[in-house]
Amino acid sequence: MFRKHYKNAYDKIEPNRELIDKVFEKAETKKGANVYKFAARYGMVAAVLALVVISVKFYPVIVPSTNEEPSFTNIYVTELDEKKYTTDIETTPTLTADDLGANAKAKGAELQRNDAVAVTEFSSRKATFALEEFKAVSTAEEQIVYAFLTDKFGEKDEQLGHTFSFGIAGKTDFESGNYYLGRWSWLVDDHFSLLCEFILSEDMNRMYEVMYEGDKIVPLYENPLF
Amino acid sequence: MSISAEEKRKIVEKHFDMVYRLAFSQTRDKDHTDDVVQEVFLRFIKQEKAFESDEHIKAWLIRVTVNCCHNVFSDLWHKRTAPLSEREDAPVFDNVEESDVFAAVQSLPEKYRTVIHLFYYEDMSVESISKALEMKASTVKSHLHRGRNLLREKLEGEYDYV
Repeated sequence: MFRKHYKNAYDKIEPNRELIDKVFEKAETKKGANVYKFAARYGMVAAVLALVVISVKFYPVIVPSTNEEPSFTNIYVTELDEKKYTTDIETTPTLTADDLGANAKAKGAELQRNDAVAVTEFSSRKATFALEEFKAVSTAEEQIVYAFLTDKFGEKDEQLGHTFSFGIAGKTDFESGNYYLGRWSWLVDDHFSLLCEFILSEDMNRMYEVMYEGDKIVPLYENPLF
Repeated sequence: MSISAEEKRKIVEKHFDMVYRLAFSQTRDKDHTDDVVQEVFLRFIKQEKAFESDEHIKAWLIRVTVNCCHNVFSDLWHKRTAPLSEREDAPVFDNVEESDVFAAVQSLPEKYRTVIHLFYYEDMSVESISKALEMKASTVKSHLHRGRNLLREKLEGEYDYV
């Protein structure tokens, strides 16, 4: 019966089939734009080449030569003062893939934290659970939580190879103690792919998935994450 | 098999409703659904990949739809739109069971909604879902199981789940 009711309910969702024509129009427009880009780019190259050819061909006319034949012996080569220049150059350390991954994760965490704060500010205004306000979490505390979560779940989803990213919104009183509110995502190419939102007890012994019901945050005690 | 422009049109028209309803089950908002659907089919039209079969195309569309919905979520976390029930274009159900079931599934966490929708609405098997979503079959089963448990609580065990 569930399947029947679900199908009947979803059949009431009318797909907006006007989008089909719109999609093909957009595809054509973008194709046209690429043609213009192609023309613009290679047009520029052709123009530059033409300028170079003209300059070379008409150089004697543009810059009349003196009585003397041009002499390449007049060109002096100066050697760089190695001592002067090399000491002024700061070498940038080469970043390894691990560094890049760590930077991406840290940046991702920062982005997620900002998003997390925004949504909790929104949801906390109307939350009916004991989520009245979120206390800010220090960076040091965040790092401890990240370290715990990474140790618990790993840095990567072993099944699909995506890097995990955790974002912590803050900490709040909830029923029997303090909980962190956070979000667990994959970092896939250049975007986050949400896995779940969660609460984690301050002593890190309990972690539950949460979901949103309207503006409330509802912990799913029957879905402990460990 | 590589696809001609005319064939692409036919494929879009064939799978449009499936993609639309899947996107809606994820975003729960018609405006965002429109955005996702356009993005999915634009990617389909532009990409040059050869597909092995219609099933392969369907799996590809499902995967891209779910991924595009995730991108929408990353913006949605701090931007809520009006609940569907408050919109003028909200669906009108024939009976309270349909309304209850619809609301219950809408309230599930996203990952359970996806699997529930593909299983119960698209009649896909666990195996097909796992291929489409690039998930282990055991994970699909786990999500189905947990989704059903949540639904059972919300619907107070009134419905049997095949």
